Amino acid sequence: MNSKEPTANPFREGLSSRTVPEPCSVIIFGATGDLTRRKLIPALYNLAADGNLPSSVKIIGFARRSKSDGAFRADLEEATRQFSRQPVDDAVWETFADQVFYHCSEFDDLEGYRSLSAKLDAMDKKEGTCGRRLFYMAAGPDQFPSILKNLRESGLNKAPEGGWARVILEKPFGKDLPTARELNRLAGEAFPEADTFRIDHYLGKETAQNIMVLRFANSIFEGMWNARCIDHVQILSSEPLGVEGRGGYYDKSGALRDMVQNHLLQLLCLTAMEPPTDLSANSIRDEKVKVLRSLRPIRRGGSLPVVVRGQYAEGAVHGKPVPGYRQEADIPPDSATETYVALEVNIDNWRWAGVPFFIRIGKRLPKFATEIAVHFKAVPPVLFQGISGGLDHNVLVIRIQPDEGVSLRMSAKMPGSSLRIEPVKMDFHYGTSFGKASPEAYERLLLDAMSGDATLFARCDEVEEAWRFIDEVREGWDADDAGLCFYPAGSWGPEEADALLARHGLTWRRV
Amino acid sequence: MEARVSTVDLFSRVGMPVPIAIIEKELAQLWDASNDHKSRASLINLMIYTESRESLLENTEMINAITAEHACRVLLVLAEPHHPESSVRAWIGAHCHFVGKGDRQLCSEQITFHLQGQATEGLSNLVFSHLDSDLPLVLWWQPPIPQIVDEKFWRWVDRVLYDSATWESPAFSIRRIREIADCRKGGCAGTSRITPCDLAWTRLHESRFAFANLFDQAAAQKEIKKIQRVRVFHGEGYRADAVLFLGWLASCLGWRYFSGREKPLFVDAGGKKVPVELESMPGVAGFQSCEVLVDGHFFRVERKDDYFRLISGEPGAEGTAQTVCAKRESNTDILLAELGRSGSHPLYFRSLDLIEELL
Repeated sequence: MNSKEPTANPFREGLSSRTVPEPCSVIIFGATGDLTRRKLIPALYNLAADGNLPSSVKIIGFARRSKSDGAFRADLEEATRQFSRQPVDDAVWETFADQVFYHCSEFDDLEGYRSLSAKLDAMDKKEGTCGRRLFYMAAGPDQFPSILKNLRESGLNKAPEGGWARVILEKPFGKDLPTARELNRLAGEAFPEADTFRIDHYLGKETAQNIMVLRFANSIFEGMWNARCIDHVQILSSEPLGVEGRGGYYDKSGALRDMVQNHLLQLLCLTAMEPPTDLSANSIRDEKVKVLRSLRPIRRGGSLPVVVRGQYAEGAVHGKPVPGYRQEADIPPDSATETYVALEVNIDNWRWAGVPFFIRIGKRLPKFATEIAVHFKAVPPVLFQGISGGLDHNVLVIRIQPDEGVSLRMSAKMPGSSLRIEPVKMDFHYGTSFGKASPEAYERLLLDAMSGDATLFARCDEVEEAWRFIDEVREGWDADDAGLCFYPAGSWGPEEADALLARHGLTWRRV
Repeated sequence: MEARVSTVDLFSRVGMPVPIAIIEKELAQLWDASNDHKSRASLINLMIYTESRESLLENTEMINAITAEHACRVLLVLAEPHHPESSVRAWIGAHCHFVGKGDRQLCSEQITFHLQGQATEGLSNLVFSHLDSDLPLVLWWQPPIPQIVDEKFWRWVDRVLYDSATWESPAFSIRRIREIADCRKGGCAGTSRITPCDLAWTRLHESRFAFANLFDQAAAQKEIKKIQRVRVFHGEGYRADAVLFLGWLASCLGWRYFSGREKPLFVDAGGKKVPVELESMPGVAGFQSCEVLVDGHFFRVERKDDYFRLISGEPGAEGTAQTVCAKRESNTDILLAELGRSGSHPLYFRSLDLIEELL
């Protein structure tokens, strides 16, 4: 969420409600990697093409491979033509590419950082970037410590007078609480927290941002958004894809670390948090941290399991046979890594006492979908007992992707002389209602980081609190290898996950 | 003299003729007869009022494009108040568009009315009885605004769209719009529910946005107070666009118009006189470029086909350039852009206050 701030450019009045970033240098570590090619450069190009990127933004790719500026630009042009959301315009690309440079260095070579510093100083003087520098960690997470250390030792972490130095960290933010703390410590030694932007691209999605608007800008919802009216909440992230060539990384990570710790807990926080005092980054993040602190720890040896972890076995997706997880490339044949997690989460605070939040995430599931389904309590069983068709609970579904939107299920009388009640759905689709495509999450997030708006980025304590919760789940698993369940690829997950809800008399929402 | 289009040809292409009294019933039957893959959708009532037969089909084509992005109920009204006979006729139709990759379609309804002679006085009743309830009414009034309007009808309007660039004498019609919407000098009073939106202003949005980009750097911002001269180039017959752009520029900078001069002249916030040149260019349409000169430096935005070039530097030198995409400016594009944003345009009225004499 962005509050409107005064700008020194009088011509900006009324043109845009967002803060316009100042000209700056964007230095991308891992400039030849997939993230840079698929997401970052296409996002920067689209911002430039739409006139949203300030003039004189310089983009410097930092990577190990030897390459000229020209060769780097040619690589990026090819990638942008492939991955940009809008067709590449030759004239726009030409002036955009003029601002792109390549800097060859090993990540652990201090000299490479010193020469980068000299290059940036020269640009500041010539191009008016005025010491404003945004460092983007698009390299592998194992490189983060080395890059952060060298940024500090070369003095690049300190902004020249009148400038600023910010860093964007890509997930994973550690692999558990101790490593997250260590990463936060290293980042904190180089950059103040206010200049550290931990990116979670889910938060850049339009519907994720709309959760707060839906809850706090509509009087009909907030009064009902509590344990008195809500029965339970289901948060789902499913995809038909397997590990898709990321087996090496994924097997060390698993669904819990890869998705639940960040994306799904962020969605849970936005759904469950109290209204912030204002729309500033810290007010919103304060409320999210309170939710994370209120999560009831999932301890080992509880009387009933509240976590189900699964792994896909061979099966069929979209009519085609697919191998099981253990048969995928780079996956050990005895891997116990989970590709599916179902969790019952309880939030021990006044608003949510007694309302379970069920989180479900998995690979090789039938559909690609991310959504939050708020299931409301049933009406008192007084008037409509025994009526044909029964009564379904009201369900408010916030679809994050695809087909972003909101729908509300309610009961209606079927036309006819007898009283028969059927569920009907009111549906709101972003695509058809507003008629304009949502910008890519990375576009929004890059612009926010350039403007210094950290609202849609995770704060260090948010990350640590999320890990604290996740680590307890993991500890239980590590002590109990037998807990892994298998499900056929193309199904909705293991039966044990159904049992998780069945003991509450519930079922997973049919998506 | 208007070229007459065959009435049969014209109206057969806007839908199915229906008796006025049973329009809603006929629409319901239309949906009953359609398959399950079609859903009716509506977020606004969009009424387009025209007095030109020639624009009827053009409007219908535009509505088809608009409804792909903004589901609405469309009331297209062709009124011929000076026709000797009095008659009202109606046609219904639907614009359906596929949603996503499946076979599902979202459909918007279009009701077309043809009013002639005295029957045009019944416009408000006709509109009131065919609005989708609870949805805002967006009216695009295409002809100039008359001196006398039906106030009851206008009170129902939430947003009035008009294109001052299509009017020969925009000053009078804009003044009437401001009176109707209770927008006196300095903006709208806020007592009226009508939000006026000039599509000519919307059309300039991209140009204004591109020009603003030139001054995002602190170094460029320091030059703003030193502007000595402004030149705005426009296509032949598009002077109003250039004047509106100029009004915007002047209002952003807090300038005053120095009236009574042969050539436009403004006075900046420090009391310095700033001469302005409006120059016409043959063979092009709309706003073309704006250049401001300061001490030994220029800032220029110029339109080149589908993009803007943003250039700054010293006169005679090449200067530094940036290129940004320029969105297309057809009526459909502009209407889509306006429907895609909300809120009022206070800066528009501040700009108008400055350049009213030049319009």
